[in-house]
Amino acid sequence: MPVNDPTAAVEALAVLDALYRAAEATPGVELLLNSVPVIEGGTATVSSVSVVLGGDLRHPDVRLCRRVTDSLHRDSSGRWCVDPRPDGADLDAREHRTSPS
Amino acid sequence: MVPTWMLASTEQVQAKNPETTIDASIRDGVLALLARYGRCADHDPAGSGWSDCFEDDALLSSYSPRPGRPPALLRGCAAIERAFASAPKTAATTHVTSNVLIERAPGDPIVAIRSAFVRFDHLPGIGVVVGSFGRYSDRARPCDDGLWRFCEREIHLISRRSPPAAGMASQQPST
Repeated sequence: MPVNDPTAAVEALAVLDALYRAAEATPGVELLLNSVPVIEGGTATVSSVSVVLGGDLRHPDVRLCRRVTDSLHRDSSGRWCVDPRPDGADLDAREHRTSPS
Repeated sequence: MVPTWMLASTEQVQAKNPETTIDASIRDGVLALLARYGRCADHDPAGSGWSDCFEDDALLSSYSPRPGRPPALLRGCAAIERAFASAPKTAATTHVTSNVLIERAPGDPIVAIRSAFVRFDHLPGIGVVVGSFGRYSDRARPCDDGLWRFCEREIHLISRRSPPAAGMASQQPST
């Protein structure tokens, strides 16, 4: 792919957009930092540093800080969808979120 | 293969629907705005940099982690500046913002921005701790000088280590 390919740039943003929407839809806050999307055809992977925040109202803390890799695929309408994280360590990041209430 | 993030550029990106697509120039402007806010809060809360972040009539709403409490409201950049300048600064802070989602309606120069944030506090003798975290919900637009500025910023705190000093909760922004 040529450098500064506008289509590739738009696709990369679309992948990140889908990933952030998925994170937003789950309870708590998971910061996905230094995200690097790699798109190959109808699938994509995004490597990120994941910082999961938790604690109660007055005692915030970092529950997890680790590197995660998320996988995405295109659905029938062409939109990017985030695949569930596989069982194991990565899944813990989402399960250990603390509800804001 | 070349990672796609290396392909992003600041040049205008053609899109299928240019009226609603968030191109690279919009994203760059918004990300720069989010970074300016963090820099002002962390390094120069009493400085004049807030006018590069907020429009003159901007609204800043800060929602407590406790459900049901009304937000602390600040109307106008001048009021926001005064509030940050008078807020007690007991620790150096570092704001980190990520998971930035940007949307806009057709023909509307104002974009809606949602993001997540964490504020790290650098406590003398203790170290770095999480001071607060939550979500931002913003509306911003490009201004004549080329900078993007907030029309509105909502701070939705989920957890905060140190509440504002007694009597100040309704006057000072909580980040």
